[in-house]
Amino acid sequence: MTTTEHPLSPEEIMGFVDGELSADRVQSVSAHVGQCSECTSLVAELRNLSVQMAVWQVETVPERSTARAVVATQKKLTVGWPVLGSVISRRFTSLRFVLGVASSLAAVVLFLAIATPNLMRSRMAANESSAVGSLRVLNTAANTYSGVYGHYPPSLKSFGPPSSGAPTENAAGLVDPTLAGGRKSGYQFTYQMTPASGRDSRGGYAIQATPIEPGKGGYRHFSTNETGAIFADGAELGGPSLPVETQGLGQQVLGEQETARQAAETSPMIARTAELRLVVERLDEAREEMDRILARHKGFVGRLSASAENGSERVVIASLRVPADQLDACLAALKKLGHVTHESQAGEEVTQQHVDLLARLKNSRNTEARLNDVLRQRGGPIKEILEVEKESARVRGEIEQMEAEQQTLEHRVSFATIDLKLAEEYKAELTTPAPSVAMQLRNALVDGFRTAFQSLLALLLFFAESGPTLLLWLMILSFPAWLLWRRYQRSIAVA
Amino acid sequence: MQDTLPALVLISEALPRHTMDETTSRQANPQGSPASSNTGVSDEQLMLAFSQGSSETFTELFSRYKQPIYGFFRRRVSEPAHAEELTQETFLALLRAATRYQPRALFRTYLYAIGFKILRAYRRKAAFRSTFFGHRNSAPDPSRQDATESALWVRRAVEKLDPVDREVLMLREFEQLSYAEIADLLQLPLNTVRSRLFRARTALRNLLEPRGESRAHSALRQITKKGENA
Repeated sequence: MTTTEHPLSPEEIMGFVDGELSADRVQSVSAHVGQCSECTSLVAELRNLSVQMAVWQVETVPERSTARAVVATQKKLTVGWPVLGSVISRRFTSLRFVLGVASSLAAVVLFLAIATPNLMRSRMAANESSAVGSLRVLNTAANTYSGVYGHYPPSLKSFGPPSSGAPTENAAGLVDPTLAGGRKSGYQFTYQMTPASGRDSRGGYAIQATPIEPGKGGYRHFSTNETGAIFADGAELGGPSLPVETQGLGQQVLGEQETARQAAETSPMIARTAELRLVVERLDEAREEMDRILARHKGFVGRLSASAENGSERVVIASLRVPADQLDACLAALKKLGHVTHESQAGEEVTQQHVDLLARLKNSRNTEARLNDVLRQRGGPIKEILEVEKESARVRGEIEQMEAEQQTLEHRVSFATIDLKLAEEYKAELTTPAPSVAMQLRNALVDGFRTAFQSLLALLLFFAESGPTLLLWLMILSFPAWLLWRRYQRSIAVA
Repeated sequence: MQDTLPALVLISEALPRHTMDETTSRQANPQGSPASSNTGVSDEQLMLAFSQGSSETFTELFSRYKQPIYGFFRRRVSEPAHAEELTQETFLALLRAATRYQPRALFRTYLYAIGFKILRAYRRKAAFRSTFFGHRNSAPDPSRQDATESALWVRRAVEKLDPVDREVLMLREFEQLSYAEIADLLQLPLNTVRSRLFRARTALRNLLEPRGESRAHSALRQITKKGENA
C-alpha cells in the first residue's frame, strides 16, 4: 500500500462513499482506496460519521395526522379543511389569542359607547336643521304658488313635480318629490290649507314637522304658517337669541328691537331669486324679446355677458332684476323664449336681518343725537370736544353704512333676481378648418415637454420643501429600524 | 423509530444511489407499510394517478412519506406539534397542487421542495414574531427533546455548524438527497454543495471528537493537505 500519492481529492472520496460517482470512476476510486491506507481510513471516518449522525432519530409521526390527511383526501380534496381545522383550532384557542380578541372587542365596544351618542346627536341636529330648511323651502314655494295660482296649495303633493309634462296646479314642481311625499330626513311633514275667506285674501296654511322617531331622528317639533315664521316646540325659532352685535345694547334697544321685530312678523321680507336656463333657436331674437319682457315688467338688466366661441354654441348669461310681484309673470314670459332645461327658485327670508338692522340704525341715530347734544350744550377742554366729535363722526359713518345696507336689503326684497342663461342650439360648422397633422404633432410635443418639465419641477419642489423634514425623520427612525432589522436577521439565522 | 426513506422511494429513483454504508438501516422500511396494490409502483406514477383523480394513491404516497417529512421538520423546529402542523401543511400543499403536477423531477425532490418552502415561511414568521412581538424563537432546543445522550451530543454539534453547511449535511444524511437534488433545493452550484458538504463533515467530525484526533482523522487531514497542494 502506498500512502505517498493521492490522485483523488477528499471530495471525490466523499462522493465515492455517498454513491455520487459515475460507474467507471467508482472502479478506479475503489481500486485506489483498496491500496491506500489513508484513503481507507477516510472512507471509514466518513462512514463512521454517518453512523454517528444516524443516532439522531425522531419519534414516529402521531397517528392522528394520518387519519386526518386520509379524511381530507377522501373528501375530494376540499382544500384540506379537516386537517387545517386542527391547526386553526390550536392556534385560535391559545390564551394569548383569546386575550387579544377580548381586548379588541372591549376597545370596539368602548369606542361605540362613546361615539354612538355623539353620532346620534349629530344626526338629530342635522335632521332638525334639514326640517327647518324644508319648512323655509315650503314657505317660499307656497308664496310662489299663490303668486301664480291665486291661492295656497291645497295639499303637500301640489308642491311636488308632475309625473310628466309641464307643471300644473296640482303638481307645481316647486319642491323635490321627497319633500312633497311628506317625509324627509327623519321628519314627517303635514300640510293643512285654510281656504280664502275674503275676496283679496289668499287664505292661509299651516305646516307641521314631526320627528318620525322622537329621540332618535330628532327631538323638536317644528311648524310654520303663511306668515313665514318658523316655530320650534311652540316658540319662534331664533326669537330668544339675538345677534352678537346687538347684545351689547341696553335694555331699551332690546325693547325697541322686539317691537320692530313683532311689527315685521306680520309681513315677512323675502328676497326671491330664480334661475332659468333656456335653449333657444335664434339667440338674437330671443335677446330682443327678453329686453321687451323686461320693459313690460319694469325690470332691468343687472349684468349681461355674451360669448360665441368656435366649436361651441352661442350663450348669453344675464342677471335680471324685476319687481318681486312681477317675478312669476316675468318668468312665465321668459320660459316662452325657448326650451327650458333648468329652473329653480329660492327665497331667503331677511325679515330678521332687516329688523336687526333697523334696531341698530335707530340706536346709532340716538347715539348720534346724544353726542350732538353734548357738543351743543356742554363746554369743556378742547381735547374732550375733539374726542366727542371723533366719536360722532364714527357713529355717522356707521349710520351711513347701515342705511346703505338697509337700502340694499330692501332692494333685494323689492326686486327679485333672475339668473338667466340663453343658449343657442348648437350647429356644428362644416367649414371649421381642423389643425394640420404637423401642427397637432408640434402642439402635442410642446405640451409633452412642458408637462415633463413641470413634473420634474414639481418633484424638485417637493424635495426642496419636504426634503429636510424627511431627512430628519429618516435619521431619527433609521437607527431603531436598523436595530430591528439586525434582530430579525439574527432570528432568521438562528431559526 | 425510524424516519428514513422507505424502500419504495429508493426503488422509484431513476438513478439508483449506491450508498456505501451497508451498516445503516436506510433501506429498511421502518413503518412496515402494509402491502397494497400499489407496491412496486413508483412515486411519480402514483402522483400522476392521484392528479388524475385516484384518491387511494395519495394514501399510499402519504404512508410512504409522512415519516420522512415529519423527520425533516422535526429536526429543524423545536416543537413536535409545529413539526406535525408543517407536515400536514406540506401534504395539503401537495393536495392543492396535484392538478398541476408534471413529472419533470423525482417526486421526492418535488415534495421536499414544498416542505422546504413551508419551512422557510415558518422560519420567517417565527423570526418576525421573535423580533417584533418578543415571542420565543423556534430554534431547536435539544434539552427539550427526549433522546439519548449521544443523540443530544450529535444535535448540539450539528447546531454549531454554519447554517448553510448544516442544511446541506442534514439533507444528505437524513433526507438522503443526492448532491444534485440538494443543489436544486438550496439554489447552489453542484460544486459548492460538494465542498460545503465536505466542510460540514470535517467540522462535525472535529466537534464530535474534540478531545483527541483519531487515526482516521489525521489521515483525512493529510489527504486534504495533499489534495490542496496538488
